[in-house]
Amino acid sequence: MEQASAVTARLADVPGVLIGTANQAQGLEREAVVVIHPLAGYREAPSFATDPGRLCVALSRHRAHVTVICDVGTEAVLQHALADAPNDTALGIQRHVLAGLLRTADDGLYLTQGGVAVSPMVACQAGVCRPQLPTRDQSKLTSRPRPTRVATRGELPHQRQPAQGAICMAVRALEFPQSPAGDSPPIASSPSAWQDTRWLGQQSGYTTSRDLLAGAWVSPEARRTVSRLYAAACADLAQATVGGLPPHSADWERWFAALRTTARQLSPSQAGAHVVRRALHHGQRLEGPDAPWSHHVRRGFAALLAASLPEPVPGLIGEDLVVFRRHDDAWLAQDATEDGAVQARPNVAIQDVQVGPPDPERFPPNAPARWPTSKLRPHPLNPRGALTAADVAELCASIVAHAAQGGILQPLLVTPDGTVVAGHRRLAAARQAGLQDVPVVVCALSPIDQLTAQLTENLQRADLSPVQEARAYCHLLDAGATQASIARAVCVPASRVRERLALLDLDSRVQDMVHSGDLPLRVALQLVPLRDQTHQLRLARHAVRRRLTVAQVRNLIETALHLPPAQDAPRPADDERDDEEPPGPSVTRQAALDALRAEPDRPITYGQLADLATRECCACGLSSAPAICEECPNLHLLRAVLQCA
Amino acid sequence: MRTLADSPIASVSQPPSSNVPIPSETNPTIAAALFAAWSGDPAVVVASPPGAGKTSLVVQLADQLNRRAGLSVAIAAQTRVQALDVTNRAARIGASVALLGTRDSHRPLDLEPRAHYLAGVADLRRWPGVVVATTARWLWVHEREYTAEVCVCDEAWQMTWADLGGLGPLSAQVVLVGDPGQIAPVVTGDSRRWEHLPAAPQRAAPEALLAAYPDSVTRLRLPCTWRLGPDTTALIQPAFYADLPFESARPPRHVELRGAALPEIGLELQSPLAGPGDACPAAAAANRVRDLLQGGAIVEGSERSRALEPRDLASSLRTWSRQAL
Repeated sequence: MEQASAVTARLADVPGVLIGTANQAQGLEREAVVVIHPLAGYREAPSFATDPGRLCVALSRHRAHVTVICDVGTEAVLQHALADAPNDTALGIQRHVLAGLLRTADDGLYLTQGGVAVSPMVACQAGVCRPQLPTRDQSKLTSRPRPTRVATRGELPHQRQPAQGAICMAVRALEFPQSPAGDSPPIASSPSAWQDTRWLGQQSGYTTSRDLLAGAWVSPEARRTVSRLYAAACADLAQATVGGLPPHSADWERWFAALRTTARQLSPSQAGAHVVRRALHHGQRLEGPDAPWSHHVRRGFAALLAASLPEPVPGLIGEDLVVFRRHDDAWLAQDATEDGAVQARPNVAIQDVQVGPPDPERFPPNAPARWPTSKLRPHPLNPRGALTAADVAELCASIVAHAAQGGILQPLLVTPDGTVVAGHRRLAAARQAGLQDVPVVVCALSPIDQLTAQLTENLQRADLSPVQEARAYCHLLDAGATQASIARAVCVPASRVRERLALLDLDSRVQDMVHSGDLPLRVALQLVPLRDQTHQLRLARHAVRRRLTVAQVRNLIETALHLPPAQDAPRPADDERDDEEPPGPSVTRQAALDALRAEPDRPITYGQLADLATRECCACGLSSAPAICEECPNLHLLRAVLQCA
Repeated sequence: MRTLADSPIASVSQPPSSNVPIPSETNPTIAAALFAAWSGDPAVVVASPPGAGKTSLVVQLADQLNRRAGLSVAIAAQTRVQALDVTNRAARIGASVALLGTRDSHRPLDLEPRAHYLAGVADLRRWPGVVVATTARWLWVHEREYTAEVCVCDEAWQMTWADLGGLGPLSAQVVLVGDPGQIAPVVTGDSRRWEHLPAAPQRAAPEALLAAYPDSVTRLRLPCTWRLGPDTTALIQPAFYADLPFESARPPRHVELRGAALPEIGLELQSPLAGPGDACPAAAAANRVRDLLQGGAIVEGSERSRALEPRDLASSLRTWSRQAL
């Protein structure tokens, strides 16, 4: 919905214009329509964006005119996706329509180079010319003098000479200044070449997270976003430089090696937070301060990468190389004077930091003291973010319960100025419980050490699995405690203790599944009423394999508990089945359906069957199973239909 | 036996509906559909390209069957907006039509004054004319409360086969009218277990019907579009309607921007660097809309008719709701 709301926001003053999705526009018509192509912005072709129905609806709502807004990259995206899946109908239709759009709208859209027609996308990739980058100031675009390209196709029969305004907007939006470097390599478009370049972005982008974590200069979401944006910028550059070259040719190898080196050098994992600030600076300059943060980062990285290549690509910087370098030098100089030690040696400073247990030298063991809570303040960059009321309430109850021992047992880690490094929850709970002072360990830590300590504390803490917790409760019970006293002592709800203890009634192999996380806790709890442990195990395996939801498992079990045993109903081949040990799959689906068909005088409507099937048979998704399991309610269902009809 | 002499087509003289200027006597598909329904075909499927007068056909068909043949006709629309639109269109051609709502609901404000509104099924059995409701509403009407002789489904390619099965007790005959190239019905459940079936419950009703009973379904198609021009038709027909050849019958019509004629399809290229959420396509769309509003005019034939107004424009038909898939 984001595009629709973005357009709505921009057209808030003309409420009469219908703005919506293809689904919303279905069945409506207008004189003129402006369509954003479903794949605009995508670098892959996800199936929901290539659905032909939506494109068809979007392109068939107008009576007189439609303007389609396309992405220059979509052609390559489709080409590449089709190379992966040549038989995909939806992709084929998308490509056909896109080609038709490009052709119908204006055949002048295809530039020629050396006598060979190439699309502007390929031309852009080779760095020969660049597309008009997203312009924030749209008024400039409309006031620019228009080129005198005349549309030769797409004319109505009665318009023999369209005037200047009939020029396809593609020409207007795409202006191709020749790049200063005239000796461009020969161009060829090969999907596999594009594919080969993809790993570059992934390699250089996704290795950054660990090192960025050490920097801890933004939230985890932002760190992930930066990694993705860096990968995207690398991929942009890769497409633009090596995308059009024949794979593994000399030029290709040369560009590829240069790209790889540059991308590694500039990666946030190598250069740290410093390079991200640098990219942000350039991004803000090039994109304008109003653009989103993500645009700044991606654009800034693309520009930095393009300028740092051994053979810079001015088309991707978006401004003259000399101007860019001047701005860059100015920023580096200013940055160095602003913050001496860390910023001037960014690589060293960031790489010194390690994620892991803190060194004993860095955290000298200080004797705990008691400080008043009013003197402490939370760290501005606490990695946990805001604390939830529920977290604090539980801990607060625990503090009250242990008031005799002083409330808080484990001291907080604070800096000499009272900033809490570790123990935000404890501090909040102590304030809520009304404690005057709390035990603290004072440590003079550098900002980066503080963040490392915080992260270490949060990363190293692993919660007990439900089964481990249950076993711990069980030990307490064996020692003479009651469920209620355990709940009071550890400050958890009594229902939780009861639930955890119920897990111990399950088969030990089912418990292992819960412990390893394969079987969700809530699904496992549904299995408890089944006293038969082999039955529990079988259903648990079924639930894991089929990824059943809680409701599906409950349905399955309720039916199994309440229906009469399967042996009561007559069924074919019953006798020899009973002798088998263990009872395996017995009645095939085909047999059951044949039995249904054999009684044509019993009217079983489609609705009845569909209703019963959705209620019962979906519980285990039997579409691919060759036979019906003995415990499957579907068997009972079919028998019930046979008997009652 | 079918005899064309009985068919009511010759004397149809209803005024054409507002935005599809085609009277039914010149439209052989309406005549064929009427004839098929009149002579008792259990299922009729009418495939239609965009803008070929689907709703007009539905309305004409229902009115003729009800008024001239005295059959009770139910119309199943797929959304409330469509149901309201069909009711209004039927009322405008003078049909005796009622919109069926839920019990204790209120008459919609934009319902035509000539159309009736039935809140709940209490008066349904006594109503002699055509009744319009959404498919979902019809599924809540028990056969003890109301049955029709013919059920006409508008936008039938947006119905699932399961929905059509649910409508089974409502009527003995069905007429399915729809556009096969458009968005498939949205199914919220897991349908993998039926995927291999040609007549699976989640498939579009006409497709499944044709797959299940290929011999007993009467198939018709609307041959030309009154909305799309020749260029758009040439682009869309081979891509989305390979099995449904149609051509453009739209009178000459184009948009003029500051005195210059625009081609039927314009293309604007952008390079959204920041992925699908990039603002530049939205900005370009908004800019284009403003441009058209400031200097655009509609030209019919060769004379300028009027300036483009906001209600003539639509934009950003791009997005979708992802969970719907």
